[in-house]
Amino acid sequence: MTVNLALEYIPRRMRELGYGDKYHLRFRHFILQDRETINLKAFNSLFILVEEPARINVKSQNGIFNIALTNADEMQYEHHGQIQIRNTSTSIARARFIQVIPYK
Amino acid sequence: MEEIIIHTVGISRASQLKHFEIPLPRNIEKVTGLWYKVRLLDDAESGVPISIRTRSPYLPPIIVGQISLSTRQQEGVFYYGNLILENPNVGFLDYTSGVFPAKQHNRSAMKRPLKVLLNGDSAIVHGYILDNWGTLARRNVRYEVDVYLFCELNFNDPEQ
Amino acid sequence: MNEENALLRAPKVFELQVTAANSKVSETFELDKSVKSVNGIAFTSEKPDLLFHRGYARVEINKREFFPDNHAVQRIMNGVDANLDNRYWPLENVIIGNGQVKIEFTDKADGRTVFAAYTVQLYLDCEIELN
Repeated sequence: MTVNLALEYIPRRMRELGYGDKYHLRFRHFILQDRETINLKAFNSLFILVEEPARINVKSQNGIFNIALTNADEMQYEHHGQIQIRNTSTSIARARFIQVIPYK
Repeated sequence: MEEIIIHTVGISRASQLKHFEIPLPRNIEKVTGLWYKVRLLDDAESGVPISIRTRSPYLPPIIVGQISLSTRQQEGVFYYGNLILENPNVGFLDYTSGVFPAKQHNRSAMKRPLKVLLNGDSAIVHGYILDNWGTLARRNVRYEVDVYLFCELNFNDPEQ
Repeated sequence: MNEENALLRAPKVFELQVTAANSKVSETFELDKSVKSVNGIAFTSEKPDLLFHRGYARVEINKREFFPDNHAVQRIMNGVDANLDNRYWPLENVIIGNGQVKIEFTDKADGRTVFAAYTVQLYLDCEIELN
């Protein structure tokens, strides 16, 4: 997933979900310290990952994203609801998302 | 007219994360129910825990894993929860245990599916299962989960 | 006594034997001509724990499928604590037609049970017309 792909994917996905083009975008860049966990309440928005972050574990109802998992067969880039972003290492890690906020 | 779709997902390694996709029939109108059943493939004698021993009269169930099911439309994730092996408290405070000891197969009324209402236009239901049984047992546990989707079909669609 | 052409309700019972583990047994039974409709179905066995964990059945009445292949019998089994009027799994809109009930029963291994030969009994809650 690159930023370009995400930007092309979003309008189509929003139409699929029935929002047409009534949505806002925000670009989010999270920085996590040594072993830090962030809990996001993204109940009415969609967080789409725009890269493959190293040393990060993203978990939500939609799925899990963690490059280091050996037992997984697929990764999820789209998340919503209660999202937990965890830095699995002791050095600083970053994760970039596009947040899509539908209105109406 | 109703139809049941049964989709089997096999898990074979501890903490395995397995994704799956269930295609819906072309003439489906809506999905109206959800149910699941877990079947153990390994022998219980080989050390797979099938019950948790505690000192309290209430037995916690074995959490086999987590399941998430979603559609591609507005419903999004319509089921997210723990897969339970079986309800171990069927005989909780049961004073008739002397004559008919309470077991899963001789207590509890028929298991009704969970009522959901999903638009059939979604065309697929996708989801994942994250294993926990292997983590509890500290070894690979092989089992299968059958996911049942109850659908209502439409035979009178003029567009078809 | 009963009125002429009264409708009575009685269960019709069919049996099939499961003798080998992980096997599939197919049998076709026929309902009596006096059966006018089927309102419910129930499964039971003298080894209910084996039926509960290992039993999967496909049921067809008059060529119409009510439960598909590999449908767990567990879901439609009842316990001794169920209401007496809630012991059958309700079937709707059953057309008797040729009265043939076909059952394809599969025994699948489950690590929690050890196989022993068992009998599966199929109860159909029927409405019978007396002429």
